[in-house]
Amino acid sequence: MQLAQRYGFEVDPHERIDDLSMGERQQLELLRLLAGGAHVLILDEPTTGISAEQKELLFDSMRTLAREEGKTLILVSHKLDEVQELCDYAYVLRKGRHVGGRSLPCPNPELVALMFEQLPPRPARRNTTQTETVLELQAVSVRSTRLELEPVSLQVQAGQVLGLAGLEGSGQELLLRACAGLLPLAAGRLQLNGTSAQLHWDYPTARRHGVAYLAAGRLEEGLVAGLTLTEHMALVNKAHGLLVDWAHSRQQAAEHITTYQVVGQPESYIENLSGGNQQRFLFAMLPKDLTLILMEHPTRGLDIRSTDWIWEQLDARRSTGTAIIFISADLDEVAARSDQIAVFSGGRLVRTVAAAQTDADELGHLIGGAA
Amino acid sequence: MSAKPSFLQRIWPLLPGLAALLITTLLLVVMGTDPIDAYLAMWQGAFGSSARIYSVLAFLVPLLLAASGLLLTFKAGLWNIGIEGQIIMGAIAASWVALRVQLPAGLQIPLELLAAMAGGAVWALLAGVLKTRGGVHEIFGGLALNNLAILFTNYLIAGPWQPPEGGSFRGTQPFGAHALLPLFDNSRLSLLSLALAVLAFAGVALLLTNSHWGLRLKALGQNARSAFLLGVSSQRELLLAMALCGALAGLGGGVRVLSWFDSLRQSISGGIGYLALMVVLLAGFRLVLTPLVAFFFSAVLNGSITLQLRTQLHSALGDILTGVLVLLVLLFGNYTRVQRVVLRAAQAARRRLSDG
Amino acid sequence: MDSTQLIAILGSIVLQAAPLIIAVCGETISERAGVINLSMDGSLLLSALAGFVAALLTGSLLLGFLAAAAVGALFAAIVAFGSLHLRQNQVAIGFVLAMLGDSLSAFLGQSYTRLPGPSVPSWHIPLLKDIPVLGPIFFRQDAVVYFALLLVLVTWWFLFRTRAGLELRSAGERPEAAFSRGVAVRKLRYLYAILGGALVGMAGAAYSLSVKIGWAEGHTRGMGWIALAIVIFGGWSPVRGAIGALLFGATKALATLLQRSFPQVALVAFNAIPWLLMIVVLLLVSGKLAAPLLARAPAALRRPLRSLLQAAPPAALGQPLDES
Repeated sequence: MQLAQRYGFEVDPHERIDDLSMGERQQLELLRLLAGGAHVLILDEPTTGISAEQKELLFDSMRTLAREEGKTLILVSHKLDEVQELCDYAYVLRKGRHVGGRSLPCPNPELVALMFEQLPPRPARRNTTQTETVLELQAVSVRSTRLELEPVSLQVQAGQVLGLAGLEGSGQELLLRACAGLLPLAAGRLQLNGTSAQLHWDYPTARRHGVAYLAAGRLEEGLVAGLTLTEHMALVNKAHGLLVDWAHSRQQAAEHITTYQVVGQPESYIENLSGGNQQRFLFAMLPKDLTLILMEHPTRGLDIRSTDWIWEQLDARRSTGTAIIFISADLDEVAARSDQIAVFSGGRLVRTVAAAQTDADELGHLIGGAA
Repeated sequence: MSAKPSFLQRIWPLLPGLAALLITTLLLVVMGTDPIDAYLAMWQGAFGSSARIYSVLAFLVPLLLAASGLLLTFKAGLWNIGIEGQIIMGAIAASWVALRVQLPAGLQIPLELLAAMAGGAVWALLAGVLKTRGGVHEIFGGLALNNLAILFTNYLIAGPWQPPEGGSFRGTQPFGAHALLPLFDNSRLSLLSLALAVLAFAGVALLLTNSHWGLRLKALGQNARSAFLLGVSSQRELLLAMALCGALAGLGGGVRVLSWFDSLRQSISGGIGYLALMVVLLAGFRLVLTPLVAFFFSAVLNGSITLQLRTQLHSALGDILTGVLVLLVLLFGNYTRVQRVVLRAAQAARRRLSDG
Repeated sequence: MDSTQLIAILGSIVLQAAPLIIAVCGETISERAGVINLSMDGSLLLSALAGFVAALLTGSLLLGFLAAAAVGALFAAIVAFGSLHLRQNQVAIGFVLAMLGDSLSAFLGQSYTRLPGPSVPSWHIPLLKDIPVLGPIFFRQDAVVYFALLLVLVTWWFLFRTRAGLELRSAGERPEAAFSRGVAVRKLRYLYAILGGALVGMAGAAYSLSVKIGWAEGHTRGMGWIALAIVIFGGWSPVRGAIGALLFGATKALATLLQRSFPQVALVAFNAIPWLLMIVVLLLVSGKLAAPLLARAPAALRRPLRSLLQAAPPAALGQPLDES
């Protein structure tokens, strides 16, 4: 408690952890470490999910720790403004390599240039964007226990790719799950292909309307460990009659294995496939005609070959009018693959930009919380 | 892992059986009974005459029906411990028709059996809805419903259904002959019920291995979240699995009152539901093993009843034998797992020795 | 009914609840550390028999309780070994042990049925027994009741006020985090599962040597399952669990009372109350039903009501932890 007062933290020691806000939990963890006599503190994205006021408090205490008590602080952050505000020196890492450093403060563009170098040239692709609106959100807000997404309004056209950028936990996941019917809308209207807004929007309804959702955790949310590829095929097929036509399902699985270049057998258990092959098989199971595909981190953990292959598949689907909304932590991927980019920060849609008219500098700024 | 199984690995599945036999033998010796005599009495009790064999088969019918139902609920990842109550409610529903409804000969028994299935299914659905809608774990919902079913039986026997000569608290008056299942060769066995049980098991086996629904249950049991995302409606399938299991259990209860007994009795199930859970656990949820294990259990329990009549030893000995067997198989049945634990312990011991 | 009668009834509620309280405390400790001991019903039966027989043969009540505790500890050790070392399903092992304990007690207890035997003498606590109302209810009982009441306080204090209790809870809530901070999770889980099991065993002896003296087949059948439900109702807190046990004891006393006043209603209707109560309280604490109800409650009441009704189980209850 003395410690808490010294740094101006207000943590009620009788509260349960569950009931504390993110900021209060963080203060508590900081106090715990300081009480344990830590000299070097490593803070990984410490301002994610905490209020502006708590951020000020945190930064004040961190300055006190560094300047007056001689502790060493290492800050890991995406937010350039915070880095500028707090740090003395910045090291920039990119794709597992240390690419340079600057004494701070320094102009933001210098850091951004180090961070992103140059955006890769956008792969040439047909512009299949049509004018027909597939999805329209009107002042949609979504609530979870941790975060409330402020009202979002946007439109997605047939064949369009909308990339959702932002630090993890900035609200883009909530929006994606709400579109999939996995989270209830706290307010606002959602219209798909002109469906009535009064429609009770849940996951089965979304599926019926041609919405597909691919979660980040493939074996947790998507595939069933313990089932073979053939069994997966039979599971997603429209049931004709009571009994499964195993020969047919097996043949289908074999066909998909060939067309989608999955390394595996129809009899293989899905959990024995590599991540890339699991993702390929998930794509293989998607219904043919889809209105909208929603994806969390579609290429996370995949090698470059699988990544390119997956985007080829998605491009093919776009050309038939399927709209795509995806989340990715890889800024390059968002910039390269999207038509439109919606940038989220702290539970707010900060801005929607056309991918062709933006650059890494702007994206970096937006993600970092500059409006 | 060696390619060729070792001798130990090959005889491993037999060891729990031997150990269980050893433990019951010890118990018998402690109780001052000659174990050889006791096992002989049990054998004769189960297979000593054709009448005994019929009795084993008659007992097997409800056990196999319940175990078949449990294969469904276990597949969906449910612990349907409420199966005991579902058997009882099936017995009550069949008894109601037998006591209160007069139908032409060809309709009486089918309606009784249908009522039994409905009774069990309703009780199972209650536990299922408590789980899916109310968030009450099926183990606790089921246990409460089991006890309520037992109390309901007692109430019926002591109250509205008591025999005209006065409440004996033991059972209702015997049903009319037209309401009872025809028995085979003066035994307690009804061939019709045996055929139904075999049919039910075959149906369950077909559903589980070859139906779309069985596949959906399997997916739900393995990973409910993924199954939901792949379009499986978990609530509907879970309730359906419960209802089907309850119907089979209820049918078993109906068979109990209509052939094993001739009336509704106080302990009409007498733990057959719990026994069926043990059967499926010992069979490791495997289809082929389930009827074999059920037959084995039925033989042991029939044998132990004879043992009790002859030696005054409590018939719970049969339950102990099977219980120890299930426990040992659950604990040590998986050879590779046991091997790993033993190896690890040996390593740790070696490390400690070399350190000290 | 005059006040002496009422006080006598309240006193009998406390006595009825005492073994349940002991068992609930034991199971709460075990589950807080992450181990579900579902064998409780069988373990209570067998330990009730063991306690009675040991006390009968040796003439020592203490040995009776020790024998019962040993049986309970053995059952818990089997569950712990099966799940912590052999990675088998805790629920399955617990269930089989519950069945096995039942049949073992029936088999072994056959020749001890309805024998007169020793019992814990009642002992009124000097001074405290003279407190009006509370004295006769709580302090003119026997050692089992005092032990149960003391156990609630000690368990609560241990779980929530000591460092060891904190480590126990961390083993059940976030075993990985606890392990990374140097807590020997597996060892703790063994320790507290066995300790909890020993308490369950003592609860069995509390029945056969004090509350329901003697032995008969199925002597305590059902009480183990009820105790398991009370642990949930109690939100894994010994104090709330004790309140749940008292509530349960009250329904039993109430049933007896009502039975006297309404003899035309069948006895079974009253016997059904505890099981109906079990369903209702589990519905209330599950949250699925309580959440919409809470949302309608006045805002000022919502928070206290929620903390009263709802409780989450230890996050890693029943889950294994790979320490190697």
